Amino acid sequence: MEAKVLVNKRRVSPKAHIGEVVNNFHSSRSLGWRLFSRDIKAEYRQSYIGIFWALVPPIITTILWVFLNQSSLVNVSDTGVPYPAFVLTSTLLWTIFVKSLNMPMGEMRKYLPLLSKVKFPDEAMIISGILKIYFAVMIRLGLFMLALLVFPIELSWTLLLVPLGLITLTLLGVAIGLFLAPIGLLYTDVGRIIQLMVPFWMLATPVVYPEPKEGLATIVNEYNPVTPVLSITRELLIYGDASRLSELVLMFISLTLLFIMFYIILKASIPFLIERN
Amino acid sequence: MPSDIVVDVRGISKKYSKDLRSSLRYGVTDIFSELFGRGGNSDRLRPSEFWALKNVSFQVKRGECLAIAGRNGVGKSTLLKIICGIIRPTAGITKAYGRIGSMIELQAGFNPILSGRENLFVNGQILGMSIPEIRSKQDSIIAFAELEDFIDSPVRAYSSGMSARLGFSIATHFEPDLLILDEVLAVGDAEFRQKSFQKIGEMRNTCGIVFVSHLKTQVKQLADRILFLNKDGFSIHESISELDDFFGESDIII
Repeated sequence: MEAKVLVNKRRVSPKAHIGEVVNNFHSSRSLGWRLFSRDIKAEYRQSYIGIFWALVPPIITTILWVFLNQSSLVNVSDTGVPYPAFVLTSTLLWTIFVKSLNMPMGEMRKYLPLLSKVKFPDEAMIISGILKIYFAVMIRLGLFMLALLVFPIELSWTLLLVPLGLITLTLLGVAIGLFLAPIGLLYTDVGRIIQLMVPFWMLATPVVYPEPKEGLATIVNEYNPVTPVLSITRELLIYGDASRLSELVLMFISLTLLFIMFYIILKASIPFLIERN
Repeated sequence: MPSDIVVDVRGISKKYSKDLRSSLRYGVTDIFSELFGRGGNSDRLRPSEFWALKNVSFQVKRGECLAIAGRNGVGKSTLLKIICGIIRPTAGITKAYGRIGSMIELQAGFNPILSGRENLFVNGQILGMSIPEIRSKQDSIIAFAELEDFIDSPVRAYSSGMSARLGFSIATHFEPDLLILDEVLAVGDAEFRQKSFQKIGEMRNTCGIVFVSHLKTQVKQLADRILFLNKDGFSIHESISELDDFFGESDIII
């Protein structure tokens, strides 16, 4: 059998990076799963109610928005479905986006000390990060199913297309996160700007209100990349409407390409980030 | 692999910046240079940069053991990290053949809340072992670390010696072609230290070893050659017996 050779020199060509990324994403699935299960166990082992903590934030957010709406502090136009179910669904989708946006920088920050001691396929770290996002998604979907018992919504076959929407939403967040990570890991300003922007970004996205049809909000939403992905996925989930499916498929394809491109940029940056860690 | 060479280091140089702000700015240009192949990480020093390593070359074959010594800050750990592919050199090329077992920090990747056994599996996989390989070796790893009674306790309940023993045991069961050790041979109590020396000695028969040490007894016991790094470059001494002539009776080399 031909022995593996690790060659290290000043510059590795982008072509070599692409080859390594393709190979490593396939070969590091098992390590990715191991890192994911280690992080989940470590996160909840010291807690008495453990995994139920994952249910608390979406319940509180839903109660808060329902209260604001019912007390007329915030006036939301007709959503077509019971408002609590609308908010629960929309905040679930928004949470996926935010977790995906924060994941690349968060995981890199966590694993840089280890990467500076041991050479291991960093793709495992991204696999673990994505699994952690879907772990949170599964818990929230469970909560959504429970909510359906209280606020009945007519479910349709379009539910089968929801995973495509969830994956596209994840790809959007992770792609933006990967794009920002190399500079964000050198300069802390990037992380601070993201933290400041997220609450405003949420209000500029139709999360707690339906997609606007007129006014300034329409213009804002036109330039907001989260709006179409979130709205289409919500339409598939609670409205049984698949009329904008082709738009979603197009976004899925372009975001997959962006994800690969930005991952290769991050991969090329890792040795330089390790030096400065 | 050519004539059983396990690591081939040719003309390795590495520069760093003394100033944090410049270092961050150079980080951005170096990343652009890596992606587009222009400017940045060249072999000319930019303001506030210095050479941490300059034109270092050596080879290690299977069955050989090279010790690396030098004062703090002369680039010993940097050299090991370049061989492992963790950081890039500014100039030169390294080729490492086969499996690389690196012991730059023994407890790297340990989670204190998880048990020794859980950490054994995570750490083994991070080092590059497969699950079946770890399963087949776990009893031997635990026995070597002498942790049979505590392997299912959380690692935060371990003493520093106990967790270092576990880290050492996992890394030495990896069966590498090239073993890299960065001042990790003084682990645990006297009995365990003796056992770990014996283990490294056994591993010498099947792999090449590069290790950093400041202790003459360790170098004499394990190494065939010693590479001294200093601010101006490096020198290789083929005869370990010369060490007494150089450094007298003290066990500390530098």
